[in-house]
Amino acid sequence: MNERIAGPIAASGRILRVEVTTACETGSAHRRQQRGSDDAVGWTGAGAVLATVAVADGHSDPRCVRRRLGADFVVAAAAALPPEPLTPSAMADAFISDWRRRVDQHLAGNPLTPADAAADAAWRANARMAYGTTALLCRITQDAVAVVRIGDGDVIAVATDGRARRLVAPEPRSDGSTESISHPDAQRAALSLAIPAAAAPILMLLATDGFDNAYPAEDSMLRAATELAELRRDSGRPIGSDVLNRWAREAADVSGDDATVAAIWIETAATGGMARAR
Amino acid sequence: MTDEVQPLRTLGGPMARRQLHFVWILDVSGSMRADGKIQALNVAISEALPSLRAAAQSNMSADVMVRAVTFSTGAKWHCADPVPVGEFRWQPVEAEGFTDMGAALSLVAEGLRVPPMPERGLSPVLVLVSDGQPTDDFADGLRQLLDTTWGSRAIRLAIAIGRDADLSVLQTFIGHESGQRPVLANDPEAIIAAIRWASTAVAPTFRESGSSLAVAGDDDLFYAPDDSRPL
Repeated sequence: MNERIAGPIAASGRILRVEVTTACETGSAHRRQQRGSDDAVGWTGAGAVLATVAVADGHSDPRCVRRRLGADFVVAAAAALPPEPLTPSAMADAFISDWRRRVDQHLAGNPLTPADAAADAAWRANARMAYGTTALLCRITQDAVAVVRIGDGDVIAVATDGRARRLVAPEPRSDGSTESISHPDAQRAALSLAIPAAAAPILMLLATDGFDNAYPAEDSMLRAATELAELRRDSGRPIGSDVLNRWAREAADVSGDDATVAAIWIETAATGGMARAR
Repeated sequence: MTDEVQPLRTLGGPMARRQLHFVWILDVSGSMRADGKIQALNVAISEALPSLRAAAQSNMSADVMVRAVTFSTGAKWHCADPVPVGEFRWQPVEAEGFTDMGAALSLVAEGLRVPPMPERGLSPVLVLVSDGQPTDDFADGLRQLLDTTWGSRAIRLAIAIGRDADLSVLQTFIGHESGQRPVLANDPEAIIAAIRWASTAVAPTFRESGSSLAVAGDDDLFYAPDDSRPL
C-alpha cells in the first residue's frame, strides 16, 4: 500500500465545515445500449467525521456482470467506516475488508452462473471480479482530509491559491486495464494520502474517468476544478447540483462513458472567512 | 431566484470525442495483377465501407478517421490526410512493381507520430494486406513503427491474399502475443469477407479485453507522449 502524509498536522488548523455536491450521468454509449449507469456516488457525515464521500466506476469488462452492485457496495462500505480517527492505510484496509464482506455475503445468497468458459475460469480464480469496480474515497474530519484510491478516475485538490493538482495518481497501464477493488491484491494497489487541516485544499474533486475522457487535453480537468472553486468562492454560494449535472451530462455525451463527480468545498477558519467576505 | 450559480461555459474548456485512426496498408505490387486480386481488393474495400461505418457508429466514444498507404516499388500515401469515416470514399488502386513492405511500415510510422497524431485517443487499427514476400527491409520498417507510441499500441491485423503470401512476415507484423493470426483470402469472396472482418476492428466489441485476471476499465484509451520529444 502506498501512503503519503503531506506534513505534520498543525494544532491551530481546523476544518470547520464542508459542502458536498454530486452528480451522476449515464454515458451516451450506455444509453444507446439501454444499459444503466455502472457508476455510484454517495456521501455521509456525522459527528467528528464531517463527510465521507465515495465515487465508484464499475468495470466494463464483460466478466464484471455485477459491476453496478460492486459500485454500490463501495458507497455502502465508505459510509460504514468506523467514526474513530484512522490513518489512511487503516482506512483503506477497513474499507476494502467491508467491501469484500458485502460481496461475499451477496455471493453466498446469489451464486454466479457463468455464461462462458472465460467467465467461468475468471470467477473460479476470483469470484469477486464479477463485482469489479474502481473506488475513490475521501474522508474529512476536523483534522485532516484523507483519500484512498483504487483504480482509475480523478482525485483533484484545489489549493487556496487556486492551483489544482492530481492526488494519488497511479502510473498509466499500457494494456488498458485498471486496478480494481475486486483484485486479491487490492490493499497493495490502494493509494492513500492524508492532508492535514492546516494545508487543506479549498476544493476536492472526485470524478470517474468519463469526465477526463471527454477532454482533448490532460490539464482540462485541473482547469475545471479551479473554475469550480472560483465559482464557489466568488459567489459565496454552494456549488449547485444543476451545475454538476449539466457538466456530467456534457461529459457523458462526449465520452460515451458514465460521468460521476463529487465536489467537496472545504472551509477552514481562513477560507470560510474569505468566502463569506465576498 | 436560485441560490446556485452557473458557469457561462463548459467547465475546463471545450470537450471533444477521441479519434480512432484506421489505416489500410495495401500491397499493390505487380503480383497483385494476377488472378484479379487487385480488382478484388478495390471492390472489397468499397463494399466494406458500410461495415466500417457501422462499426464506427457502434463506437460512440470515438471519431473514426481513415487513411491508406500503398506499397510496391517504394510506398506512398494513397489517402494521406485522415478522413472521417463517413466522408471516406475509396479511389481504386493499380498494381505494379515490387513489394516494399518495410517502406510502407516506415511511412505509417511517420504518420503515427505525435504530432500530427493527437496525444489522447483510442489505439489505432492497422490492417496490412499482402500477397507476397517483402522485397526490402521489413524488419527495419516494423521497428520504426513499433518505436512510435501509437504504433506499438495499435491493433495490428493482416490479410494474406493467395498462397504466396508470407504468413511468417504477416504474423510478425501482427505480433506473436496478440492472439490474432493472418486471415487467409484465396478468392474474391474471401477477400471481401476478410476486408469486412478487418473493418469491424473499430467496434468496441472487437477491442474488449478478455485477458487473465486483469480487468478492462472502460476502453482502450491511451495517452501518447510527444514522439518528437527527446527521451
